[in-house]
Amino acid sequence: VSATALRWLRASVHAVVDFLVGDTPGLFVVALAVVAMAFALADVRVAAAIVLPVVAAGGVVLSAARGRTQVSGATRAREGRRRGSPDAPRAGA
Amino acid sequence: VTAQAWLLALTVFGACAVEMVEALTLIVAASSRSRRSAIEGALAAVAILAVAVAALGVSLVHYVPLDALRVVVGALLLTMGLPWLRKAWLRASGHLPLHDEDAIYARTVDQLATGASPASPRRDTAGFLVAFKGVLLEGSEVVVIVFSLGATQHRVLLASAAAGAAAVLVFSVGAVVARQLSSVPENSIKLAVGVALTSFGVFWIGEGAKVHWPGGDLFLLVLLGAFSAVSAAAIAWLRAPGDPEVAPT
Repeated sequence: VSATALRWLRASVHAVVDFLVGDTPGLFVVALAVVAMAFALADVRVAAAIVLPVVAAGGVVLSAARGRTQVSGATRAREGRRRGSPDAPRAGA
Repeated sequence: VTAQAWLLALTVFGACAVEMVEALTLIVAASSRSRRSAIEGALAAVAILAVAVAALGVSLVHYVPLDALRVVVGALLLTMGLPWLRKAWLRASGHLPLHDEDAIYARTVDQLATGASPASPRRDTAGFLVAFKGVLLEGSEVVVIVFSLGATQHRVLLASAAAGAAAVLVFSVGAVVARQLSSVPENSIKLAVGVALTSFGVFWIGEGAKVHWPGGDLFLLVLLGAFSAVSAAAIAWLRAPGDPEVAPT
């Protein structure tokens, strides 16, 4: 019974982490940063209204830029292999 | 009815429609082996989600302090909204392939076909599990969105009604067009919902932390406009010439 319970617990924790973090852990950190900054800047009247959206938007822009680079690298590697070039970089390198 | 209530209903409706289209694709694919098992799998998942809604929903609204609830809900909305925005930007700029329901349908049917044939044409465990898992996973996101947005504004019923309306619409249209789900402009809906979830997320985190928004509740509209503008600019920037687009598969 305990082994089954442990397996269920592990699966549940894995599902929750996957739901919250997924394949973009950087964006999870951005969400936590927005929460922290909201409390830090709550008493500074205008600052929070500017900083919170900027941090959220900036986080997605950086993450999307990284995503574009990764996709571009993978595309170049695929094209290189298709042409049979020995110097072609490998995907994910 | 306030502007915020309309915004809430539209956001929940859009998010639910996107998730339901994805779930319906898996149900239709599972029906290729046994329609009865696919429907039973989907209904079993809906029953589990209903129990979760009844158990969690009441305790969330009645026993968790409102400010704490708003911060947690805002953070949850951000953890969903930010990845939706990122994916929608990359898809709209051609760096990720668009979500293709036809391809997902074909792949799922292929995977099911490689398994053992159903013992009976009316009972199929694999089809049951595919429909069950699809509805449970996609439905759990809908449940989180309905309760996040509904509980913070004391409009759980409105949020549930919007989700129900989206489910009825998608399943009614799906029953008629069956496999033409790919014609739904999913990425545009996902982009709009991503903007709304992110705006609500930042707004509720600020409300829970006692941030004084200039203009009060109207600042939510400022956030929506700002994130929409950033999205348009980001997509244009990501589309900039010289960037290799994703190769067709």
